[in-house]
Amino acid sequence: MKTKKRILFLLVVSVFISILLIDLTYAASISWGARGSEVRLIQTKLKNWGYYKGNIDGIYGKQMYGAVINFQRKNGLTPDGKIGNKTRQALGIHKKSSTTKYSSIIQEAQKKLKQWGYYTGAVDGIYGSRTYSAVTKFQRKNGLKVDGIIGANTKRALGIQQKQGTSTYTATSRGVSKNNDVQLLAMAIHGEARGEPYVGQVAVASVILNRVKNPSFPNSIAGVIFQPRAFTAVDDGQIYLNPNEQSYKAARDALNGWDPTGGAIYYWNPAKATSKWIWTREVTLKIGKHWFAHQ
Amino acid sequence: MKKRFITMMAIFTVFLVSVGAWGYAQYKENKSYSITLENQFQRMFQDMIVDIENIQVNLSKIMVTGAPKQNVLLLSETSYLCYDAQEKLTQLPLDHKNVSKTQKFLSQVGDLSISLARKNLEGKPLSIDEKETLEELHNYSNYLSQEFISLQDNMFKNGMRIGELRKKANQDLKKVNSNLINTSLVNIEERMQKYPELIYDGPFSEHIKNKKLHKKGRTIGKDEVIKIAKDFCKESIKYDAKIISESNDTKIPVYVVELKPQKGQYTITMAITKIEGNILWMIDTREVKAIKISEKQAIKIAQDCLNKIGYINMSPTYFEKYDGQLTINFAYEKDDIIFYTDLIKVKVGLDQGEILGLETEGYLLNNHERTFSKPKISINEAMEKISSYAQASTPRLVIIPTEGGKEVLCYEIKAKYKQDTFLVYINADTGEEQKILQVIVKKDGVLMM
Repeated sequence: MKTKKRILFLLVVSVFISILLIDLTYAASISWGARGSEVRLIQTKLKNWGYYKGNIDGIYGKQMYGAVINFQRKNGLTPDGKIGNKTRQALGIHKKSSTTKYSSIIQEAQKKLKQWGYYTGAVDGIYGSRTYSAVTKFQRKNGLKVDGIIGANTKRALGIQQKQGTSTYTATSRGVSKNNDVQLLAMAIHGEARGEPYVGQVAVASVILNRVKNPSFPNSIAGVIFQPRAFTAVDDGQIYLNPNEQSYKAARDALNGWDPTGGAIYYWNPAKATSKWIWTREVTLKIGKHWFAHQ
Repeated sequence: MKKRFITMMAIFTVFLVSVGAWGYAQYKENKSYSITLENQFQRMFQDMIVDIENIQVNLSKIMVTGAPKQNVLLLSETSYLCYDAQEKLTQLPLDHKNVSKTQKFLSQVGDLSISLARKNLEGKPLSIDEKETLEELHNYSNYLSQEFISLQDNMFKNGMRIGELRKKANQDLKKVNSNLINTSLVNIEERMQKYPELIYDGPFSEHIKNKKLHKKGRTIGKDEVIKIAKDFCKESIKYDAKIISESNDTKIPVYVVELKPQKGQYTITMAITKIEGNILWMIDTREVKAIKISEKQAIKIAQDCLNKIGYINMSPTYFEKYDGQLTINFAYEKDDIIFYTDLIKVKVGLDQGEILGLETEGYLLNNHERTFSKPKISINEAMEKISSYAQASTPRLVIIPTEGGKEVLCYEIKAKYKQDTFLVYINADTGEEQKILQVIVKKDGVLMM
């Protein structure tokens, strides 16, 4: 018997505490569309005093709005239908701490809700009716309990971190290097244009880079260089010779944007070219032994 | 005598047998290589055909869906299929001239799809024109699909090998096999030539290719070109200068001048624009010795050089150090807005602080008088777009180029997530996130990913 009573007592206390918690998270002024225990409390007060005639359902509706306006007018308050601190005082509702208190969690939630298009108001960290409707909309869409409370589940769904994460994160810089681009280009330069003047070598590398940007060619440096039958040095394996210092330098200059060809996508050595087709290209520039063409 | 003959014969036989065995092993290995290669080619070819089939199916589905979200999915899938098919096509041993139009078609459809998907994401529906373009592209991809399927059928029937195309570079196309593949490809190419010009906001759009300098001004004579080149170089050194080449039908037509010092083993090559006589690029091959000056000093030297040749409002944005040289990127700055489009690169040798390279194409092509209305988005609103996981610093206004070469006014916000740093670009008029770059600081400079 005694234990049963104790359990009942604990239950009542926990319900009470949870209501209190709801009240705390439920900040700011209450206006049209708001729901919750405080609305219920206000409805009760207003009904007791004869302003309100509707049901005590905890939903701020049309009837309640009329009642609040009436009450505010009678009590010399601005009749705006919003239940702020003054109206609360007049109604005799004492909140432990001011409910319009700023909360960083609310601010973060507002920011997220705004980014995802649920919220349109200001990101001020104050829980108003717009925040409430945004939270409920979000909860409905995400299959959460629709209570307007930013609890643990809602926080998780919003992606708000509760504690400093213990997850380890490796800096991306360790996994990135542009060296493979430089290496491939240097190999291509060495294979294709070993005997050319420096500018001619940069030009050959530029043609490769211009092909990457051209829709008629592959979209990566490796794709362009290793395209079958595109470069003789690739087809006969000369590309696998060890590039010298100058090839690396030319590769870096080309990657940094120096393009002596001004956008060429073909080059050939007129003394060696075997393809009849290449001779139909219009020569736009000649550097060293190579002729360059744009189309 | 007889005995000796028998020994000789025996040795000879052993020799013959071993050579035969070696030859057979070579032949077998060779065959296995060519089969492996053929398998790779076949797989790519078949996969490519499946991709092209799906491209035309997807493009037709877009005709009937009304839901923007479904459109976004279909369009992004189409673009993936296009790039994939293009990548496979470029790995086959086909003549560039026989497939370049088909490759271009695949790149452009992929590119267009992504740009339309982005447009849909911003809440803008497909216009009538865009729908008609897609319809036309659907017809082309349908044609492409049909042709490739019939080529595939033919190849199966005749037992054709793709690998054989590889060997035919210099020989006459005797074999019917390769002939058939090439003829069908040539036919396809001819038809693919006629698809409409595609203009949209993407890297492979037609209008980018056609971007040219339209600046009007004084035409420079050859003598003056040499004078401009010499004026840019050190006065104390005597050079032999000559024009080695010229370009006409390029984005910016230039004279290429080569300067060789009368003493010394290096060359300075310079391209000078035929109109107005600006230096488009300059490369000095002088070798850099021990580093004596700091990066800060080098940036100052570069800035002074730009001032000297008439580029005044240039602010250094980032730099990279290699081979004892510092390459510095400068962007045009006006009214506290950084124009990343109007770019000049300067390379300074860290030994004597000499200018070893100059590149001004970005500036010459893009710099012009611009007028901007005030941004519709406030700094605070821009900051709200940054993920709350990251720490954001105060934004500044910049102009960045879109993939299609248009200019957008953005807030540039540096955001930090744990050890990583990012640059986030928020469109100053729409509040959309336009672009995000990761800043990677390496020993020799800063990388933008």
